[in-house]
Amino acid sequence: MWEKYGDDVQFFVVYIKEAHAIDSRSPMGGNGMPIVEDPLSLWERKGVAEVCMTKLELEPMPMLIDDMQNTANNAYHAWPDRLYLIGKDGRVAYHGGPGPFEFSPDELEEAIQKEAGQ
Amino acid sequence: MARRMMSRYFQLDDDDARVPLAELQGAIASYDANGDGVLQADEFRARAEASKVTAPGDDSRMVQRFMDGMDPWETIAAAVDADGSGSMSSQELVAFHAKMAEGSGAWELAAMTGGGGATRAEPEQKSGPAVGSMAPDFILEPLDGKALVRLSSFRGERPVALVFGSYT
Repeated sequence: MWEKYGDDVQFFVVYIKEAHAIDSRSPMGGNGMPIVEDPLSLWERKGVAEVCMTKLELEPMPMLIDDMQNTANNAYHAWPDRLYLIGKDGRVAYHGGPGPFEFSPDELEEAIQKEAGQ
Repeated sequence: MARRMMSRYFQLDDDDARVPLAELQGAIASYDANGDGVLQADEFRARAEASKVTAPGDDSRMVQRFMDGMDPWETIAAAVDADGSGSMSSQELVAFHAKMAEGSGAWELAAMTGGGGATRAEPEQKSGPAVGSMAPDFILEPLDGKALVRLSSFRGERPVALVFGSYT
C-alpha cells in the first residue's frame, strides 16, 4: 500500500508501547516470535523499534517513536495497534478499529482512495 | 531491558517477573567487592568480566544480539541509579524493585477494567478521535534521528496515514 499510495499520502509507522512485552500481564514470544521486555526509556524503545523495523522489513516507511509519556498513543487510543487516515484538512478521515481483530488495511485503502478522489 | 539485563548478570530466575527483593539484594551483594553496601560501576564491571556471564538459554537470538550490543552497567544503571551517582545504593535498589512491582500492578488494573494497556495516568478514553474531528497534534522523534515530525505540518499539504503498533 505504501508503494501504491506513497506519492499521495504520507505514511508513518508510529512505534508505541509494547503489546506483549515479556514482563507484561499478557506476555507473548518464543517459537520464532520476538521476546521483548517493556522499554523503560526512550533509548530502549528506539532500540526495540529499530530491530522491529529491520525484522519486519518496514524500512521504506518512516517510523516515529512515541515518547515515554505515550502522548500519541493516549491521544489516538492506539494500543495495541490501530490505523488512522488524517485528511489533507487535518481532520480524521478514517479511524480503524482496535487491533489485532479490527485492524483492517483494506478499510484504510478504501479511505485513501476516497480521500485521493476528492 | 534493564530487568532482563539484571537477570542475565545477577543470575536471577527470569521466568518470574516478580523477583523477591531479598534475592535481588543478595545477588547485588555478591558483586559488592569492598562490602560497603553500594555497588560501584567498576565493581560490577570487574565481576561481570571475571565471571564471563553468558545469556540464559531461553533468550531468543535476537534478544541476545540486542543485549550484546548494550553496555550492561549503563543499561542497569539507567533504571536503578536514580541519582546518577554512578553507583547503586540499597535504597535505589529497593525503589527500583517497588517500581517493577507497581508496573505489574498497573497491568493488572488495566486487565480488570478492560482498558487494554491503560496505565493509571491515562485518561478514560475508549476509542480515540472520531471521524470528522480535528486530529490531535503530536511532535515525535523519527527513528532515523532526523528532524522532529509535527503531524499538523502536513495540514493542507497531503493526507497522513498513521500505522500504530509495536513489535510484540
